[in-house]
Amino acid sequence: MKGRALRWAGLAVVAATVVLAVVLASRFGSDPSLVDSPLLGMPAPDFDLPGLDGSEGTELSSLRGEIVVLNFFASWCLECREEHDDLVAASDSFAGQDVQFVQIAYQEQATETLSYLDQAGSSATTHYLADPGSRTAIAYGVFGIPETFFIDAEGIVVGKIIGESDALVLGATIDSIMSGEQPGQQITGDTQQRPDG
Amino acid sequence: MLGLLGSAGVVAALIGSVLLVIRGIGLARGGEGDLRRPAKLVLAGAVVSMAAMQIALLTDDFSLAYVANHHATTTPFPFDVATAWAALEGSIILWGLVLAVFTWVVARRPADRLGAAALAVMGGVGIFFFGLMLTVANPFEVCVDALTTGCAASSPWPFAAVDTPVEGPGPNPLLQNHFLMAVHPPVLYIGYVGLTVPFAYAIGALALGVPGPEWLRRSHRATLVAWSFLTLGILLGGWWAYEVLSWGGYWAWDPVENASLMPWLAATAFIHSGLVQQRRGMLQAWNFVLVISAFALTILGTFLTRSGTINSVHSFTQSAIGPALLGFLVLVLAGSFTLFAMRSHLVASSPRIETFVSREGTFLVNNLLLTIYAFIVLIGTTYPLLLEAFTGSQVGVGEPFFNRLAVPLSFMLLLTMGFGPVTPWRGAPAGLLWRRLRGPAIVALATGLVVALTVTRVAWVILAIVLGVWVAAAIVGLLIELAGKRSAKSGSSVYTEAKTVIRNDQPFWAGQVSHIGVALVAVGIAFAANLPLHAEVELAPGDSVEFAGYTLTYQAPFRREEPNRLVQGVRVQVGQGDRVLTTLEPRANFYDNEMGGIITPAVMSRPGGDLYLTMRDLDSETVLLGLDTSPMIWLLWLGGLVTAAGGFWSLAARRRERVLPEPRVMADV
Repeated sequence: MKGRALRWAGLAVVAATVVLAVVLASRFGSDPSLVDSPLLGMPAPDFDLPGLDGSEGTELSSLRGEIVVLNFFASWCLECREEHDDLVAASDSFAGQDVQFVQIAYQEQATETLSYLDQAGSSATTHYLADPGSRTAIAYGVFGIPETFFIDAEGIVVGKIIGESDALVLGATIDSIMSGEQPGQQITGDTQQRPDG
Repeated sequence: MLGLLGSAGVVAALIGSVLLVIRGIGLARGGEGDLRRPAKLVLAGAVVSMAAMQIALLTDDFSLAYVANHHATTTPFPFDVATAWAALEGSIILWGLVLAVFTWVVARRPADRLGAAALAVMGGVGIFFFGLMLTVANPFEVCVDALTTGCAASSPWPFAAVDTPVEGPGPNPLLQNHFLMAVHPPVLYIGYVGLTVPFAYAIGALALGVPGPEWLRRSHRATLVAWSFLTLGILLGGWWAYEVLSWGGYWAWDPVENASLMPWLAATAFIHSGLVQQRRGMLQAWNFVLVISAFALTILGTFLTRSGTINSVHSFTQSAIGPALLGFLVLVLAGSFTLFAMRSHLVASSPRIETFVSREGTFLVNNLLLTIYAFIVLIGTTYPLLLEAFTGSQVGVGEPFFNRLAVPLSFMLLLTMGFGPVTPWRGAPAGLLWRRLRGPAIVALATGLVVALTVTRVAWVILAIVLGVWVAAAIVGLLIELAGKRSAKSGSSVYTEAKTVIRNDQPFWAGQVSHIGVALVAVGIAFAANLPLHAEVELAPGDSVEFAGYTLTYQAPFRREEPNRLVQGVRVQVGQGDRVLTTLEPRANFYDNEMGGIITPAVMSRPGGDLYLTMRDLDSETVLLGLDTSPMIWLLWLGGLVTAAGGFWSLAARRRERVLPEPRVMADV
């Protein structure tokens, strides 16, 4: 009697193993961070976030009517450091053309991000925002950074770059949005997660 | 050249593993043969491959892609040696070497049928890992396309046209920031790989249909070695995180950490349940389940952390190691449990427990708690993965989940640890437990009261102290009781008799040392988690600030060139009253291959706890300092060491024969 119960228990584990394996194996081939964002084509989740330096922040809906380039970054992220100069330059060069750059610090103390910006340089026209409790990052489904979202004048997410961006990619994407296209998602490289542990 | 040598070593080890499987199965079926030679071949091959890698690292041989991508001429000792296991391919060489040593040790005993079957299983595990080294994780690929620093393309063929870079980027800066990183992986790997031995004996016993305690008896030493090193490895990992990562923590329920905790929990449960089977013949089936789980969890942990499924910068496209590890995991689990199901009629027949108020009863409770614990960690680690697979939504399972469940479980475990050692096997006579535990309970509660009145009112801390003292007092009380009885008979002093009591059953008392270690860890965690102070201050040179009873004075910034890095930091004098205690140097280390600096904390350890300074920002006038205290954190390190020491002490005793029931005879199976 007991032996039979054990046999069934054993076989149940075998079956569970196979299910688990199928589930895990389904994730091979594509990096889990690279699924197509369900946000594409959808209204961008609104946010009202404080500035990194504690200043009065920015509300996304107040930027309606302009293209918004929304970038999640942190000082611990190598790819973010790589793309940083290009983001600053793009923000400066698109200033006054109805394009707003918003950079939200991802999983990092504001003081650390601020001191990083002091070293790396920043753009006077970019909104640098804090994200207490990562609420906005969660709303945008940020998995690893850098991730950059493009929101059109109607507040619809029309583009997303996963991985490091550069001046060329940023410029081309913004131009295509200006001409009414939806650039969609592109993957330019690796993303990173907070390297604790 | 070294690539050829290393590859030859791997091939030799692979051939040895194949021979172990073939001959081991033959011997287990009653054939003739010798398993020492193939085991020696595996060991020789593994040693040669590790030696080749070490020579390549020490002589800056950048013709090997692994060396070119993970080493630099400026990498100082001992980090050049440690670079051999700083990245995936190299760490598998270490895994293979440790496995080869364990295989060789098992093969040194004369191989009867059970031993032969176990060696065949170990050979099978060897085939997998040495096979990895020849295919998806080849550490001896030669560089065929050199970059200015590092290697862009490599070939597994040792005779390919080599394009040797002149310099490499060096290992990950976090890994060359502290000597602990050089010792932590080998120690942890001995723990992981050591669990292969009881697993191999268990599968051997199942295959031969001999579920009796013989396989436990044979693998007990290896299990203890594995457990002790695993304990030490986890401790070193936490200590490294504390000393190097500037968040002041030692544990974050990160998948990498969970990967080491899960097998530890399973192995801890197994050590206890194995004793029950050896003493009382119970839990036969359960022991198989535990040991298979413990081994499978080491593979799962390696899979989770090395394949990039969770929380990693590596995607699957970069390495085929993920599918390989997953396939192996499925093979291990499905194979083992199919075998288990086939032998269920044999494993099931074990005596039932008579009363729960007995040693075996407390072990049952402890097993239940440890298993739930491991299961919770497993669920927390894999839940995001499973949820995403089924629903597509992404969630993270954070510290609150783990803490909410792990903290009460840990307290329940501590409570059980007080009962276990003082409860006799088979059942306690009425009144005995009360007599033995009354004293410890009073001591524990009194200590709790004193702490509440003088030190802190934080409930978790008081509870941890009460339970910790309870565990320790129960053990000390038992020792005094047993020694007192002997002393009354013999007339010699209680102290002398206590030594005799310990000598007569050293493994038991060694286990109690580990229990005390665990109690210390619990108290240390309770303090460090509940009573830390934190502040952030901006100071100009000459400024002072009062923090946690210390006076901190920012003296001056400094800058220092070291062979492999640039160190930039500040000197902060720490005083108390009029006395100067020390000068701390919180700093950032800048390595060539990393853009930003690695923030490295400066720590002052005192009996009351640590003062932990991190430099958060430095400019020409001021420094932004993070100030933290970790009260009584040394209890945590000490407790971890004591826990591991108990394991090692127990090993020392097991050389002498222990009084155990005679093992069932193997010959007639």
